[in-house]
Amino acid sequence: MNAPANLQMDEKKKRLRQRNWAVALALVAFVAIVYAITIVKMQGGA
Amino acid sequence: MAEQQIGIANEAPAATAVGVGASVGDFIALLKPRVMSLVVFSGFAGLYVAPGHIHPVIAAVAVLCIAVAAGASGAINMWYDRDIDAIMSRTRGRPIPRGVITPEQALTFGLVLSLFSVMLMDIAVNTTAAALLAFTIFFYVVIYTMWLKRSTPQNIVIGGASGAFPPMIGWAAVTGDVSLASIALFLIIFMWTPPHFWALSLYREGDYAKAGVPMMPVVAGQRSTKLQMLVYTLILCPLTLAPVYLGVAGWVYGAASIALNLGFVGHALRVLRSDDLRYAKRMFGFSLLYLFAHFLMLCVDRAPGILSVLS
Repeated sequence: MNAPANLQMDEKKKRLRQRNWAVALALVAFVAIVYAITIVKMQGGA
Repeated sequence: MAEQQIGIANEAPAATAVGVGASVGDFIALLKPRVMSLVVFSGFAGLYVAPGHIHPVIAAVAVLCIAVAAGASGAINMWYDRDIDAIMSRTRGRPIPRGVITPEQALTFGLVLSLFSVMLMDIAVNTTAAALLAFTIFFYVVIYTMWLKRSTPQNIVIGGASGAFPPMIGWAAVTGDVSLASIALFLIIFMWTPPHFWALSLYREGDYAKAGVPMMPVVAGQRSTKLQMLVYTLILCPLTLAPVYLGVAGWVYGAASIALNLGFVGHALRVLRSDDLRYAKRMFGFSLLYLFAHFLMLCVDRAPGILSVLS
């Protein structure tokens, strides 16, 4: 593979990794939100 | 949600990005973050001024759901409008016309976020707010984007309703109902949308004509559009004072509203009298400040302790 193709492959991998991290963070945030809602509801706060 | 400020942030076509996949930023661009900011703020204001109590965590979730639903609607809008987005210079740099996100990815992203935001609103907040949120997404995607936008110059007049729902949703998140006061907040944004959006379309007329979108200046001409902008602005003025009559706001909001209305009418008159499109551009900028300031003053008026500091 030539240099530009390698660079493109690196960029592709980098973007894929970033997207995976974003999905992971979104899932963790969703779990945290549902947990917080559950605690508030159980305490009768809403 | 109405397309206030759309596309401005998407002006950097990245040819090199094609073939290496979408970045996280491309997916964020699908959510039209600039449009989202005003939607979120007006939704928050509706929630803040509503009578009653809501737990801060539930309030934060309600605002988050409004934000995500607004973004999801934007993503579905970009999926449907990809053909005309590729033609207009203002929207050419969006992720789908650039080829970094496929239409199917955008549609899936929008549908999943829509579903999650409505479900979470129902579970965490209440069914009224969730139903209004679902209706807002439906109105923006189906009524505005798929039906009205390409078929009538009244597209943004009727379609503007979708951008006007957020304060009503915020209100419903606290009270669980729809009241006269929340309808007044809805009407403020509803009547504000035509002069706001037509100011933009006056100086972007060529773009809309090229894409075949029947915006008012394209169909009825500049003179008629400017006249209608003034009429809507004059109807809007007394409506913005409705929160004072209804006891939602006091003199701080009322005084600010009168000053802002004088400025808005002044802009509309200047646009009507001149052929210089710079005035339309200025009116567009002022319209954003106008709406933001109204909802900010509503919050300030209701903030505990603020009035005692001022008096």
